[in-house]
Amino acid sequence: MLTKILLPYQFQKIGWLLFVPVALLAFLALSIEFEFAWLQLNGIRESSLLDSADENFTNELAIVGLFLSLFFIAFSKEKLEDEYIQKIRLDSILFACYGYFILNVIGAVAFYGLGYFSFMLFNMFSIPVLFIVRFRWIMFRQRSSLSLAV
Amino acid sequence: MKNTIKVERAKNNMTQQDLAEKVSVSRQTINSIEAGKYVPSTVLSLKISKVFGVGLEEIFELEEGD
Repeated sequence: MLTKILLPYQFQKIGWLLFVPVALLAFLALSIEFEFAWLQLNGIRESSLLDSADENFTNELAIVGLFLSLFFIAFSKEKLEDEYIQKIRLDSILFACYGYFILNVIGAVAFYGLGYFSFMLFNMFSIPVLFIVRFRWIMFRQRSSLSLAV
Repeated sequence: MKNTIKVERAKNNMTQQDLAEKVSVSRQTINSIEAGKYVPSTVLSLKISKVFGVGLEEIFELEEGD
């Protein structure tokens, strides 16, 4: 009866191991425009009068890496995946979608111009991040309530 | 929905972990069902009643508002 579309449990660990370096890379790339020299690949994109081609692919690496690690963390099975955990999973996805809608409304009202662009950039990650935070929090609370029960 | 899993466990001298292993779910699941926080699927309910060897309706009972 259980859905088979989740990744094996081991991917959770791989996800966290990948998350730490790519989150650091994304932070550095966004805050101090850090770039790897070896990711400068010239001649791939065309620039226009107002738009530089930005042929350093550090940003791209950070974003793809972040999505990949968040995907691994969010959608890998628990050690013992059962119907109750699947229910918590579904509830958490709904929670994350609600959060995403609310954030979009707040963002549309509160930001404009370049600020809105940065908001959209961060908002890309709100669904997986909200899902993981909510799901992990419920699982943590489950575990701590277990120590009280016999 | 009310249930008497805790009572049945006591009668059979079983811990939550024992029952969880017998019906292949996590201990959290049994704990939440006992606490009335989670209503198990039909399949899991049938498995639980099979472990205790009693009828489904002796373990699970509808409450007002269900």
